[in-house]
Parts: sequence; structure tokens; C-alpha cells
Amino acid sequence: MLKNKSQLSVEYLILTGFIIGIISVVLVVFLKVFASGSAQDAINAQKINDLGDDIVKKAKQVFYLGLYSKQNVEYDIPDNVEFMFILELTKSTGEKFYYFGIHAKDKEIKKHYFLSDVPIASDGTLVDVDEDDLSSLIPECSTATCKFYNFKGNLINPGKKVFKIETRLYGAEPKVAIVPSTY
Amino acid sequence: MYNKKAQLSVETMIIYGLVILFSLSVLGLLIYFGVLDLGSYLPDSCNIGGTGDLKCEEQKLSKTSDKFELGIRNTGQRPLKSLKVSVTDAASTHFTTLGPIVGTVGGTAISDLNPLSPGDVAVISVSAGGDVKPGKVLRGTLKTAYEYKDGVITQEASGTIRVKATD
Repeated sequence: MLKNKSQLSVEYLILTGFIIGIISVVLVVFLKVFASGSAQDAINAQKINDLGDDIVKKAKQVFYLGLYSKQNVEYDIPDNVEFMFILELTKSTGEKFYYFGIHAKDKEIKKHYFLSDVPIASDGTLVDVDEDDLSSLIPECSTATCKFYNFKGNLINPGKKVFKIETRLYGAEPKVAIVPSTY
Repeated sequence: MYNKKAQLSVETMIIYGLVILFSLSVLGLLIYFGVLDLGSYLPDSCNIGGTGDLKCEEQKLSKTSDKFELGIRNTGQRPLKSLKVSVTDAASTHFTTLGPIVGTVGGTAISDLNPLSPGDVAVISVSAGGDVKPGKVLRGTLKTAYEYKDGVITQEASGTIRVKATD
């Protein structure tokens, strides 16, 4: 009777060990393939593309709705954003280009630029927004004049963030202001 | 009687375990020393990560034509006035680096006058350098640089490629 019990427990131990071994191997393979950094990078890149594409699209809508039209938008900021800014690039010919830019840090720095069809800007006097010069990050700025509005601090921390998109006058020129919704 | 049965089943299980362990070790060693390349049984793939503007849809590495070819679709909403691709072979099996290769559309290089419209496929074709080894897999990275037709900033995106060289 006792021997029977001991056989049973040894068999049980061996089986348990074997099953744990197989599960561990499968788990390691699964984590390496599916839950690795590259999968996370792809999700982050998708979030950034969604954010950038949508913000320039909304800016265009608001601009053509006329002066003082506004809209609040909410975006999920991924956890790898290093810089998020609005760039106004003026060529020597006087031609102006507006970009919404995001630099993300994965295994390497990934730069995403979303060209805006309408003039966009922000407000450097607000908390978490400044106008520091980031020309060194963009080679094209060496032959042009670049003005930046940088979103920083809490605005580029991961999570849901609400922005207000509003058509305002900057001097005499109407532009779409993208500012944190608290202002 | 019970004792004998118990011993037999424990021994059987141990032998099974050892055989499985031995087989896995041999398999692991074959993979480690490059005798067995499980990756060569995977389908060819090519992806350009980090951008919503480009999608790599075709890839080919041929010994006969000595050509490395890619088909890259503009999945964005704006036409592109330039597209350049560099390919690096991580193991230097077929070559070290190719490019930057200028993309073409309709047989002509992509340019301001011949842009890559949204939805169109750019052909990237270049000589592979004469050392293509049929059956061997090219595993490497792709680096693309492109510019919107109405833009001024060169955008960059990198990705990976796995393609088995053909005769």
C-alpha cells in the first residue's frame, strides 16, 4: 500500500516537472516572438501615426471652419515620446511649411513628421509648452529658418491627453493653435 | 507484482524523458551551429515599421538575374517626390549593404515630376553584387528615406526583411 503511494508520488513529480518544463519553453518562445520590444514598438508607432495624422486633419477642419472655431481632441500618448513639437519652417524664398513632429525613442530614435496643409502653431507662454530651438535635430533647418513650439513635461508623458485645436489670429495671420485643453 | 509494475513505469518515463531531452539537445546544437536553419522554412517577409506611409509588399533576391527587388506601396495620403532604400544583410551572406537605391514608378525614377501617388507601388531594383547564394536566406534591415511632394523634410523609416534567394 505504502509502496503504491510512493510510486504514485514519484510519477506525479516527474509528470509535473515535465509539464512545467514544456510550459516554460512555450512561454519563453511566445514572449520572445510576440511580446518582445518589437511588438511594443509597432504599437507605439501606430499610436504616433494615429495621433499625428489625426491632429493635422483636425487642424485643417478647424482652420476651414473659420476664425475662433475650436475642437477638443483626446490622444493616447505612447511611452516612448521624446520630443513632440510644431515646426514652422521658412525657406529662403519665404515659402512656409508646417509640420507636427514626434521623435520617439525605441532601440533607435524614430522621427515622425506630419505635414500640415494649414498653418499651425501653439503658445510658448503656457506651462508645458516652450519655444526652444530644436534645429539641431532637423538637418533641413540648417538651410532654412525654423521656429518650434515644443510640448513637454506632462504633455508627452504616457496616457490620455486632451488638446484644444482652435483657429486664432497670430498678428494678422490666422493659424490653428494646438494647446493643452486646460488653457 | 505491484512493485515490478511501478518500477517499469518509472523507468519508462525516465527513458522517454531522456530521449526527448537528448533529441531537443541535438536539435538545439544543430540550430546553434547553423547546420539547421529553421528560418529558411518561414515565408518571405518584408516590413517597414514606424510609418503609415509605406508598405513593403514584394521582395525577391535572384541569382539568375543577380537582382534584389522590392515593391513598396505608398499607403499614405500624399504623393512622394523621392524614395530611397538601403538594405543591409545582417550576416553578410549575399552582400553587406546595397543602396541607397532610388525607387522607380512606371520605369522612371520617382521625382517631383514623376511622383509616387497614393496607392501606387514603387519598384526598387538593384544589382545584388554577383554573390547571391540560392537557398540561403537574406535577413537584414531596410532603411527608407522619402519626401512628400509638397514637403521639405526627409522622412525616415526602418524595417526588416527576410527573403530566400532563388536560382
